[in-house]
Amino acid sequence: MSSARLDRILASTSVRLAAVYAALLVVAFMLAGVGAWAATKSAAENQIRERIQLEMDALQEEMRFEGMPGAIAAIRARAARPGALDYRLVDRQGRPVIGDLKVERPHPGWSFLDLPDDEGAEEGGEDFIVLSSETPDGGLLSIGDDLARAERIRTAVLNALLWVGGGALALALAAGLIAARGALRRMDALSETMTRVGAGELAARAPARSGGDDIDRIGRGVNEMLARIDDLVANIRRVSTDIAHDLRTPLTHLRQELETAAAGSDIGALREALKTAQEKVDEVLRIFDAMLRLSEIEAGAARARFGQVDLASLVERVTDAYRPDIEAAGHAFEVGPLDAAWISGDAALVTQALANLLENAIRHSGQGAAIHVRLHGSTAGLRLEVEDRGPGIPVDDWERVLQPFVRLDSSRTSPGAGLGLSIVSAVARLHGARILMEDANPGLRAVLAWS
Amino acid sequence: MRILLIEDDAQTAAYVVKGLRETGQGVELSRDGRDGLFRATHEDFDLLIVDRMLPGLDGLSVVKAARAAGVAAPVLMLTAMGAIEDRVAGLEGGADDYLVKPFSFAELHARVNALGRRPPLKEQETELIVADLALDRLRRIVKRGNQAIDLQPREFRLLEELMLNAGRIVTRTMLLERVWDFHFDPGTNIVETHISRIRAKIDRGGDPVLIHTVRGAGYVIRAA
Repeated sequence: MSSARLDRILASTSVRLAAVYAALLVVAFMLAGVGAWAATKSAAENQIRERIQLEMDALQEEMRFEGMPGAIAAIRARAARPGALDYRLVDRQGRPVIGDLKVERPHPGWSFLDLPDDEGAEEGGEDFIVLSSETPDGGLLSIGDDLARAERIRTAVLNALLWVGGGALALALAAGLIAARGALRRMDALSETMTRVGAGELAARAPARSGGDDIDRIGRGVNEMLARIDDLVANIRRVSTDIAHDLRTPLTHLRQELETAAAGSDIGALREALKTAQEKVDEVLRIFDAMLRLSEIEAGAARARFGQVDLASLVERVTDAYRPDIEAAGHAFEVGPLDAAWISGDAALVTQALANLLENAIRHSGQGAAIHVRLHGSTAGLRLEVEDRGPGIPVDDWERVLQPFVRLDSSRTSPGAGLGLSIVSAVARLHGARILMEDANPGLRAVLAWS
Repeated sequence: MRILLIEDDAQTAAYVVKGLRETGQGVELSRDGRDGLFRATHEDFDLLIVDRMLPGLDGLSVVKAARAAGVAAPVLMLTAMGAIEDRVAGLEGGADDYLVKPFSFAELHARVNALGRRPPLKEQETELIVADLALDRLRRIVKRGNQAIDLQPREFRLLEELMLNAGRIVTRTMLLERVWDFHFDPGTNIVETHISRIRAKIDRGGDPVLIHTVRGAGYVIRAA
């Protein structure tokens, strides 16, 4: 593991998390240690006091029943046993009788004794706990024990805690590092994908895993986002190419007209050429107008001033406007039934959307095909249908024709920039509706559907 | 007629000024919003033509401020292509009509005439008369001489719009906007077909023709 890689591991989120957990672990152990230490201390001391008290009771008994000589013999015998307590017996005048417990000024009851040297020296001056009690003959018997014993137990407990705690801490850190390395490897793959995409390789994708952890979820999210970006970029590329193609034809014609006009000398022909040139420019401007309109609709500013729109009378107004044209073109034109329906929207935009659908029907349904407009309102939703009995379009193209500048080969020769349905689609989105293409068997039914 | 044009684009300004002067109008030009507003409120004009996008103070604010200052002259607003929101905002802000750039001079001229020479009470008149053609706006009855003429609702609106502007050219776009509320260019001949329908009903037999086509401009209804 190189040092740079180690640096990155140490900087990784998992390691930071592991470190935080380890720190918490240490604090928990310290608290537990302090608790255990205090508990052990009082338990050990109590045990010593209990032992001293029992010894005192036994020796008092001895003195009462056996007399002083018996008691002295007993003390001597007890003091000689390994691990024995320390004793001291003084007579009524305070003269020592037996025992080596160095208690200077004994008084009845419990006391602590600070002994700086002697047997306690190795532990650096241990405290003794001492119980003194009057004897039947007026002397004083003191029994003491070295507190170092309790200290040793405490130290042992503390050591055990430290070892176990340290081991757990080391384990936690090691586990954290290992987990971090794994996570880091996966995050590296993720960030490498993004770097590649950033460098222009739009097809790059994060490794796909079906797992459900957070990194997998991020990976899937990143992939979905990349797919969408890829689509959008492809779309923008396609649209800019299409714009260029669509403008190329009228601009080429314009150039030819102008060149011819410039070369000619007949004023009438010149006028004619300029007029044609102007028409070509208008054609280009119409394409620009549609593009700008499309992007303005998509920007959604119109939503701010939506009003209530009487859809049925709007349909009536628009179909009335188109009826003479449609009938003049030899189509049977039927409107209705028109259910009463109000929507929240922009009447001018919905008008344009319906007009575009009607113009499409006229343009693409072929000579004499019947056209039928209906408005269905029900609890399931609202459907504004424009149906033509023409040849229709293949199912595979239903999605595609909604995109800007897409024109099917069959309609390449007719006028229009292929923006009509895109505008309809944008108006639908703005109004919370969808545009659906359906097979009218034969023919095409374009539907604006509110649900 | 005295017209104030507030327009910062030199070429558009020159195009409009030259055209309007050739038709005999007096045109003053202001190149930015603040100056335009000052002149609109301190001088007397019959019509204001205001570009939506102006340096200093934008066209919409100029119109609002002028209206707030009591300027009553009709306002024609020029809006950028594709900016459909500007139309609504302009009309709400006090403009009387709007025109999308780029426009033909014929279109501008027709609108200037319609706005500038609009007699104040014409909108309220209940009976419109051109020669022997009479249109009753309240009872929705049309008569040529003594002969009642049966018109569809939209045909009635079309004739009404022409007669409100009797003697003045009304363009195809103006008719689309005012009769059908179409604020886009339909790819079909809606206006032409409807005009020929009402012509067939009104200009029948040996009567003098009333509805005239002005090539490259629009339609006009007049007695001779």
